[in-house]
Amino acid sequence: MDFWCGLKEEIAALAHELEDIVCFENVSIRYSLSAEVLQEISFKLAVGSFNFITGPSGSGKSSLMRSMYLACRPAQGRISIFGQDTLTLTRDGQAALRRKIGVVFQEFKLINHMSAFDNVALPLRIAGVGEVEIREYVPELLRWVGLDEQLNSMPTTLSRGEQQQVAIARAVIARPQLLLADEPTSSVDSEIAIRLMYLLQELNKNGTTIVVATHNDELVRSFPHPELRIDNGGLSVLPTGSLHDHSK
Amino acid sequence: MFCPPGPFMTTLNRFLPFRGDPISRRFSIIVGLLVFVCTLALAASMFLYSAGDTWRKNMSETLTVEVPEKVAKGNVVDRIIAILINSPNIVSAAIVSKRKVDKLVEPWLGSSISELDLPLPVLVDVRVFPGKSVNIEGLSSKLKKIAPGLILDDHSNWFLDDWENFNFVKRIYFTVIAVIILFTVGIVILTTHIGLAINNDIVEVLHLFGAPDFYVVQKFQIQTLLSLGPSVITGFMAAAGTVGITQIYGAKVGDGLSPDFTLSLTQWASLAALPFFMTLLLIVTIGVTVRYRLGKMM
Repeated sequence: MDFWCGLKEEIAALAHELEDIVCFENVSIRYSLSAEVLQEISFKLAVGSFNFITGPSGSGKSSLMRSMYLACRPAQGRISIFGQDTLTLTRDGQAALRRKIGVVFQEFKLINHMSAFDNVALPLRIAGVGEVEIREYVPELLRWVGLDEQLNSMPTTLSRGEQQQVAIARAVIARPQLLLADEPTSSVDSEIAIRLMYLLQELNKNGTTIVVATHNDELVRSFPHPELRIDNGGLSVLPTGSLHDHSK
Repeated sequence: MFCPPGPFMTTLNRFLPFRGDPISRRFSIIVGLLVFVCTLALAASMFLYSAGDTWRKNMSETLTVEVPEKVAKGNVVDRIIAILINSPNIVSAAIVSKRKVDKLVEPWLGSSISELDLPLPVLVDVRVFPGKSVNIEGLSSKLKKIAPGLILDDHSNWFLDDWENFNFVKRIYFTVIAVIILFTVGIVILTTHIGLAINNDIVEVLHLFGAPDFYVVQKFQIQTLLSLGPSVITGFMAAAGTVGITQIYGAKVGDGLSPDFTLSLTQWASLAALPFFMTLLLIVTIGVTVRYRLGKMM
């Protein structure tokens, strides 16, 4: 697929410069005056890795994801993404960093008055990519997720699964080096969930670092990758395939 | 079948669904009305400035001699005119015709004034060199020797009072304009906040996909401009039409008693700058407001 051409080289160069794409050091997250959602957690994610973030509902998975895509500021600690301390970045620096990150939101966050095409094209337009390239890449990517017939459809006319696929296409269109998917399978049936995971694995093979937050243990079991488990505000890093032991 | 977006849509990238919603429509109407009132207030202050300026100029360059009817016999008036013409800084002196005097008092005494045979004074209109002054006291006493009871009026008695009134009204117009501008800024800030709240999800998506602040600001500015531009133009055109009609009909009314309702080309050009100024004000206000709100997001 032409679309991925060059991404592997970019990521190889990144891996050469950088060992860890995400680095959390003693990070605590809290919302206003409430208790800390996450307490002094530390972990690192290697460039090109595929990781699950697991834990029960309300455990702080989404908060952790939000802090990774720079949507919330930690109460304490240090977060480095692509080797850059997110707290010392300027607003423009933060925006530039976000353009290297693809996000699949739990509720998709598609723009309802824009077609599937325009929703997917959004990150490219933000990045200032020309319309000629946009008209080339967007249909190609929508074909890749299986929505080539739905280019002009509005999100409200699409099924949940199709909306999910549009959200994924939008998250990967700018060829992010880091893809964060927050509960991507929560509102789709198991068949689509499996297909979605294969898409994410395919992306990972192209070098993109993938982080999937999920509470779907079966999914984690089916796709053995390292797992960061959040429980009671703390985080434990479990190696590949350890979920089975953990769940016992 | 896929239809690629046209160049217009591509340029604008309508991320914000502003146009057509009820809030935008009402906001457009309010802005159109504000521009209309602001243009009228500005035109009125310009009229007043021109009228006051012309009036002041006319007053400072003219004198009026009133010769009581009972002493205006024989060649008295001719002698008065001769003295006036030979006085320093006086350009001309001429009797105001009876017909013109009748016309001047007609609003108070009616059109059949000639039949009343009233003892109206003989008026002499005196023109002074622009920027020069005349020794009123010396000239007055000289003329009174020929015509006792004569009045040499340099209009200074009521000139200062009326000039202050002009300035007062002018200040009111400028205050009205300032209030309208502040009101417009307030409405724009409020509506931008509402727009940001309504479109919070879209702004958040743009933000999280790495749109720099200026990009989001630009989208708001472009779309607000598209939404309000026609209202600004309509408000201005309606006001300009009203001013134009006033100018045409004002010229036909009053015959010297009403102020001059004519705007110069420079004044029209200043008036035409108003929609651009209002648009600039909208753009700057929206820019500052959106940046302020975005600054609160990480």
